[in-house]
Amino acid sequence: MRLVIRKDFEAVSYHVAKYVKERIKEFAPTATKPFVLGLPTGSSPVGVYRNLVKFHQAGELSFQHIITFNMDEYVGLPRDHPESYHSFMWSNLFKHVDIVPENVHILDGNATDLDLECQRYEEKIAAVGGIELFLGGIGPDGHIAFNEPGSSLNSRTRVKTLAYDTIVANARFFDNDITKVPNLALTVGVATVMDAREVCIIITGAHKALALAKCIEEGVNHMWTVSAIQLHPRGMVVCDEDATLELHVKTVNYFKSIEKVHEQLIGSDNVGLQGGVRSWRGGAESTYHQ
Amino acid sequence: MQYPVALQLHNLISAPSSPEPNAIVPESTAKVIKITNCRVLRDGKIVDKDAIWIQDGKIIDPHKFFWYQKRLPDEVLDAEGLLVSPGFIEAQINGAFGVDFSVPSDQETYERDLTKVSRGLLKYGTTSYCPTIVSSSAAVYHKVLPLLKPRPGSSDSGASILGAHVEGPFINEARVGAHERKVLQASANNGYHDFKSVYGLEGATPEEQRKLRDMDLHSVKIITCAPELDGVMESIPDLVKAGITVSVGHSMANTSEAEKAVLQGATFITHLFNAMPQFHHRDPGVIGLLGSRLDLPRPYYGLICDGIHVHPNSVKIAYDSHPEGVILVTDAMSAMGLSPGNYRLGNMNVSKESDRVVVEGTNVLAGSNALIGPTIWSTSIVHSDVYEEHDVYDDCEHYEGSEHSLRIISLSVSDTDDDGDVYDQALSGDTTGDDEDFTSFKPTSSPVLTDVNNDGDLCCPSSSVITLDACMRNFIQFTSCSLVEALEAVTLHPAVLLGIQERKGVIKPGADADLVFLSDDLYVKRVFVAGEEVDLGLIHV
Repeated sequence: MRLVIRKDFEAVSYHVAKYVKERIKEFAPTATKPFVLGLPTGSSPVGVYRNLVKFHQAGELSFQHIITFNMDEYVGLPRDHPESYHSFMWSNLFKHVDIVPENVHILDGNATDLDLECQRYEEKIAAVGGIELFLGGIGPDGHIAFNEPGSSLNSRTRVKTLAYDTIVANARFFDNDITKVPNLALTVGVATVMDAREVCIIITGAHKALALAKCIEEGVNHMWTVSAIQLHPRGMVVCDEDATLELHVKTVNYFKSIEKVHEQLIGSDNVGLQGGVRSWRGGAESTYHQ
Repeated sequence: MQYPVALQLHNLISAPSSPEPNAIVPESTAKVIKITNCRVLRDGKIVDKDAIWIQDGKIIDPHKFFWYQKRLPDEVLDAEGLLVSPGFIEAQINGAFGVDFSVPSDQETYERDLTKVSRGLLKYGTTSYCPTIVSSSAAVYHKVLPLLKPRPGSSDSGASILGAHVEGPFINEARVGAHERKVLQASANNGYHDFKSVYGLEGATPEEQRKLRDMDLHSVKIITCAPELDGVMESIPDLVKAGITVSVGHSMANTSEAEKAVLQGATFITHLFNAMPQFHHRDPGVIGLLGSRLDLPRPYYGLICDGIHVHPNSVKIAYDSHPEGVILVTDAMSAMGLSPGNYRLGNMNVSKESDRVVVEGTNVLAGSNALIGPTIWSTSIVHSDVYEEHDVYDDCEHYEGSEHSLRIISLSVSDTDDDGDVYDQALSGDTTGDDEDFTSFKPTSSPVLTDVNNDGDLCCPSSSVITLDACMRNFIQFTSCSLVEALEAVTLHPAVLLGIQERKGVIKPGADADLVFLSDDLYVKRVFVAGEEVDLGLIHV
């Protein structure tokens, strides 16, 4: 797992957006070989979307051959409701870019048969060859998507009851009235996310610090469902300084040093997108600066 | 943790079956246009880097379009950063481009003239308007009004017509302005029936008229009347019930009469300050409506913002006292839109300058009356039966004319009836002779020359030649209001006045796609009517 630590929310957002852009560019998607992207909602990815839109407006990134799958959606909330995840994705991303509407997939919280909807969603993902890169955030309780503590780490897309904590946290979007917050949601499972070929989790802010520490430094635990990323061959967490507040100094220093080694000994131009070294430049003659 | 009872109950009653089953949204394969890179006036704000989506001549919700119709727009237009406003709505315009709505002609000619004006107005950003008819005889109304039923606009036929604004004839003779006196109605004691018979209203009862209005089959949209006339005040509720907007104008009402009219249902003041008693601090008259107590409804008020009809400071005073009520109007006459030059309007030779029309060779403002026959309508003061020609008021516009030429009779002022002022004394008659006959002029009647708008002089500016976009630019200059407020004064406010704010005067899903693209200095650059762009270069009037 890679842990990339950046200064603040803006730097994290820029880094992730740039990473997504470079990944897509490297992949070079076409109509027959589209890039399948998994997308989150919430406050963590807002900066990422903003940067992606900027890249698109500068002509550096096209969404024409990108297929997206969102992580979750509330049950029973009309699609046009300003707080639905359809609305969130529309106003934060889809409105500004050239994505083809048929390539956008979001769970339908108003389907008459919710279980069938979840099953169909999994089938759709399989039909396009699986997800290439799944972006995500976490909650303060370490949940990924709506996989609340106690969710099976082998779970797939299903209906979930939202935890009281989550409802209270989301009340701010519903006039601070917890009775207005939906208490059921459709969500991809932990295994659905981990089935992606690459997973990138965005964790920013001091209130996520404990969750980050639990997920990185402690074991794989269904009470902190994002810890499943420890078992993923290509997992990446991008966080800001504030989110590292509960980590051991040793952990932070270790991951920072890896990046430093990459930059100074090898050169960031030589570092492949997934952190691998493209070519070894030199040995003794390279100086190592502290 | 103890879950709140409300939440427990909520959990019980909230089941997976949806309150909104997958909505069947009508699939439309009609072409969708997206206008990007624009600043849009939406919900009282100017939104930067916004986009407008149009389908079937209406503005659509792109959110719904994306999720339900699941396709990309067929055409994307770049607004190049221009400001996009809803098309302007004109509530008072007597004519333009040489056309006078109040002059009946055969149907074909009238329709052609109407289209000429509808197209020409697009150049100034006006996409909807109420053709205004000055006080006329019933015969004229019966001929002209059926041709003014609402019709939608298009890029070919021009601005949409919302119905007629009949300004009069139930108005006060003392504030007749430039209208013809002899067609005025002194009372309306039979209520709705009197209005019906004069105008030829289609509905036998107010309820029927309203039904016709709901189907856009009515002809009268706004009535300007003087509530102090017998029977008019009591008729207002019926007129409102008939779906007609009632406006107070050409009136001598005092403030309490005016307030009563508003309570009865009047919602507009026709060209505030003009054709009404001037403001007096102990009897503010109709103007006093702007200062009504807040628990009384305050009406919208029209302002002719050419800087001539109303002093810029007066515009600001009115606006400051009641900013939500301002509606800009042009009250333009037939010469509006004509390029500067000499024309013959009716029986007058006039020179059109950029912002006004004067009698040829003079500085005297011409009025719309010039087109209502050669009858002399104005008067002049006589000093011992002989007209003396020496200038007193440089900007006096009273004149008399014959079929052949105009001549300005200047006024000599003297208090010839010894009543302490120089008003209320005059002679008029008609003259069909030429100059020499004036010296032996004999009075045939004795109407009075009055300061008809009580503003201290004998001048009564009648119609203007300003355009609505120029009014808006002037308005910002006079009042220092915000861009949003100036735009809403010509879009949202008239739409709400006329009850059409769901489809006109706003940019929101479901509204007609009537759009004006404005440069930073607020000149009209591009116009869309019913979702189609208008080729402004093809409009020649």
